[in-house]
Amino acid sequence: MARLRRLHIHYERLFSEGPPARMVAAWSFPAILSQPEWSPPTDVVETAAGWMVTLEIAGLHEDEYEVLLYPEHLVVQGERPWRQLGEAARLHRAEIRYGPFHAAVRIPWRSGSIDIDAIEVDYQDGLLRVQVPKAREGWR
Amino acid sequence: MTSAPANEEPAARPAVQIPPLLPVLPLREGVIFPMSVAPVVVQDERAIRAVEDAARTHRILCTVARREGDTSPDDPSSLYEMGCAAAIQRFQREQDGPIFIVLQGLQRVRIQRFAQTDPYFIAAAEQAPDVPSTGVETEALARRVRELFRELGEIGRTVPEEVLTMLEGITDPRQLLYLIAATPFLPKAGRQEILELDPVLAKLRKLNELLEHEVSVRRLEHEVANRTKERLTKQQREHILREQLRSIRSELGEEEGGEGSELGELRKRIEEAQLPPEARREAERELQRLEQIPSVSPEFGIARSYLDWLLSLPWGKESGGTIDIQRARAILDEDHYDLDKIKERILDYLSVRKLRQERQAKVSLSGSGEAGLSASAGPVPQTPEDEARREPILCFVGPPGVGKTSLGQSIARAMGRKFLRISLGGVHDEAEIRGHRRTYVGALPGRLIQALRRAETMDPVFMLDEVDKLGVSFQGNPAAALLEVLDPAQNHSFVDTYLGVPVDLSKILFICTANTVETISPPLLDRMEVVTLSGYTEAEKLHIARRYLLPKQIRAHGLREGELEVDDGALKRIIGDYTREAGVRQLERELATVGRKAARRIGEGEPGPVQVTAETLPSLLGRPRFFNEVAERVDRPGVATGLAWTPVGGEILFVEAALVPGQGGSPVLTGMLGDVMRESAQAAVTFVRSNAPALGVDPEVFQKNTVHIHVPAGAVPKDGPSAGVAMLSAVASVAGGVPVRNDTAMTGEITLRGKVLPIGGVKEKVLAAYRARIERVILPRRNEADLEDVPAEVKERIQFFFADSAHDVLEVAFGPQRPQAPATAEASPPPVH
Repeated sequence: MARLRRLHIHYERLFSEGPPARMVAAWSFPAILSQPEWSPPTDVVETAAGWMVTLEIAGLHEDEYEVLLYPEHLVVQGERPWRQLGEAARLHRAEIRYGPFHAAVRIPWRSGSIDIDAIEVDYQDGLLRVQVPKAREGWR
Repeated sequence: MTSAPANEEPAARPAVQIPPLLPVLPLREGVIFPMSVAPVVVQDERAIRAVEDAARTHRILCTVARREGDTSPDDPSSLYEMGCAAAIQRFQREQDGPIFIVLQGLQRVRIQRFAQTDPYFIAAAEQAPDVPSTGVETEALARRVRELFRELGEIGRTVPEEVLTMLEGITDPRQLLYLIAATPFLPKAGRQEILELDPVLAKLRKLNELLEHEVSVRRLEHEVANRTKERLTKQQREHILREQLRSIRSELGEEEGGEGSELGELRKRIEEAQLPPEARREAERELQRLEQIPSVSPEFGIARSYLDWLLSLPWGKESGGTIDIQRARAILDEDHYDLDKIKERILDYLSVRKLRQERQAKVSLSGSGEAGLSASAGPVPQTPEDEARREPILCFVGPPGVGKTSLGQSIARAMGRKFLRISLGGVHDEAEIRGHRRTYVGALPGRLIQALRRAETMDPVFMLDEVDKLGVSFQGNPAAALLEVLDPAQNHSFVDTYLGVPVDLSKILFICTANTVETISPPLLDRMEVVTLSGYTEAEKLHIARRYLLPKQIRAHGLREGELEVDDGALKRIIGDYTREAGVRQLERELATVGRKAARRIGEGEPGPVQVTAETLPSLLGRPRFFNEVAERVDRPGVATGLAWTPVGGEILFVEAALVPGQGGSPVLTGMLGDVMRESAQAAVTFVRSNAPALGVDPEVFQKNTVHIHVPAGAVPKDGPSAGVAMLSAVASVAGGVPVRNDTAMTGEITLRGKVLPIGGVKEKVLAAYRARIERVILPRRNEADLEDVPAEVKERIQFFFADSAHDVLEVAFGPQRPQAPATAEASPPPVH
């Protein structure tokens, strides 16, 4: 069963987002990020049928992410909670990002070009899939 | 940390919550800004614990820069108050080593107090968000900052391309500000200041200021570096171009003045000269050195002139052809009258040389297979070294003007060689022979090498003139240096100090001349074969004058054949009355005077040839300068004529004796007499005294008188024993009151017992007697054989008496008037001739 969770549709534009500045190379030159959130690795595939956005983001509960659809942009954000370690624990390596994450994918759509009602969000085996089907001509 | 219900605030972004108490990470270098991502290596024990605890819990740290200066890390006052909260993005630990973390700046925080200082600082920090600015100034400053940063990147090329690209996409002034401020171009204090300023506008102003400064410094730096580089490359360029030009020139074979072509020429000369390997190596080394010296350096001149000398020697060039003995004899006869003995010796020498040359050639032609055979057959068994060793050095010894030098010239002519004269008279510096060290200014090779260059062949005839007049000084002994030159065993590799390479002198024919052998150093003399020329007789001089000197003077004065006629009488008179010498130099001068006078008369228009006879001679030469003084001086008792040998020929010598009334003591001897001559005089006196009765002398005479013997001329030093008999005669004469015959001269050493011992220089002495018109000569018996050398014409005119004892001498000296001893004297020895 397809689980649709927390899909919000916004009709105003997403302004504050410039193209996010990325870290050039973590160990070399200082870089800058516009926001402190992290972005999970994301695939965006467009077919005749629609858009398929896949995020690799494991370890979330259903209430820990939300999918927002803005004109032009699809945003997935949420927080992977960091569960603190005990006193005696000794950390050796920490590469997994926790805390707030934010992924914005540009999907140009006009009213009527996608089938908003048919958007499906599916989170399974650590992959968050968002299917945005294109509207069929004359269907509506 | 759960997000707010999405339904209520749909656009809200999830935010990182910064707790109020934060572990502090003091930063040694740099400052972390909000929004910037920076890798940090944590090594400090306290910091490691802080980072560990943060990573384990909320993963947020408070990064604070440390103040400059010597402050303890435990002291909270060493930290600035304004820091930046940062999230740990990555964490990696290498065993127990340092921790690598990547921090992301979140928000400015102001530290209120420290909640804990051990084991690490925990700060109670208040968030201090930037005061945002908008407006024209912010925009303008942001633009300017961006520009400056790009410029900075362009000057030093230190900013990666990606960063510049990234810069393009940033529109937010705050983001731009922090990105640029995080780059490592700015000083730490400046960065902290930017962090601490609240309004973004102020931050931008500060950043702008810092960047302006940095850019101008960098630009200047860059300019300086560029200028240096430019200068260097310019020099390199010039060098390369010059090298190219040189190679182009040499390709074209162009010789266009300047140092390059000069070196080229030297190189060519090295190629062309037949240098022996050693010299060649030396020459090439020197040339290489020369190429590296700038031509203005004084070293250049030294090296150049050295090469010049080295190359101008006639390496490998020889002129000696085969020697024609017949022709050599003809040449010698042509150039010199008489001197038969010397010519014989020279011809012997040339014959030996000729044979050796020919047979040596034959041996080498017959090949190695027959070498043993032909050697045993024995034409020339010597190896080349042996041959060299046998080469004799001739030394002509004789008075001046007897033709030593011209003989050398004749030998060179007879052998077809170059002739060169090296005068050694007065040379007292070894360097004159062997050359100077090259380090001295104006250093030159020795005279031998100089002469060799002039000779232009390796086998000239060298005449070393006046070897007897070599001096010795603190500058070394040139005679010792000559030893090496003249020793045939060594001179095939003579090393001149200046040249420093061996030169083969063994092909040179050395002829030395000297006036006397006495002053030649014994080792040098030992290497030479002495040939004595002892002067000419009147007849010989006549011939020489007639055949050589007169024609020469006629030519020299521009006269024609037949314009000057000098008859034999005149020549004889010049020889006898105007000159008194062993050689013919004065004679030549007198003839030159005659020639001059004749030339003048002809020039004045006097017709016909100028006739010179014995009678007209004084009108040309003035009154005679010499006359027979013997007759004049030996005219009373107490004077005897002795014969002396001098380096310039024989001389007659008068010995005067006088009796001074008074108590008879030891004899007084004057006239610059040397020790040997004094002793000889004393022996003569003693002999006369002890044999007074036998000699017909009253012994009383010696008790009442002192004998004084004087030998004029008083200014000329004299020595030697050969005046003994003359002194004896003089003393006997004065004591007996009978004069010695004035046509008689005598020589010989006398012993106390009256024996007459032989002396040297018989020929010269006899010739001197002959010149002085002496008719009778008394010689020691044992010198009889020496008369062989005396020319026949002399023997014809002079009567010789040979004495064994003092009695024989006195017999002849006094003649018939001899004071008779009471006992009958033994018969006088029979005269010869």
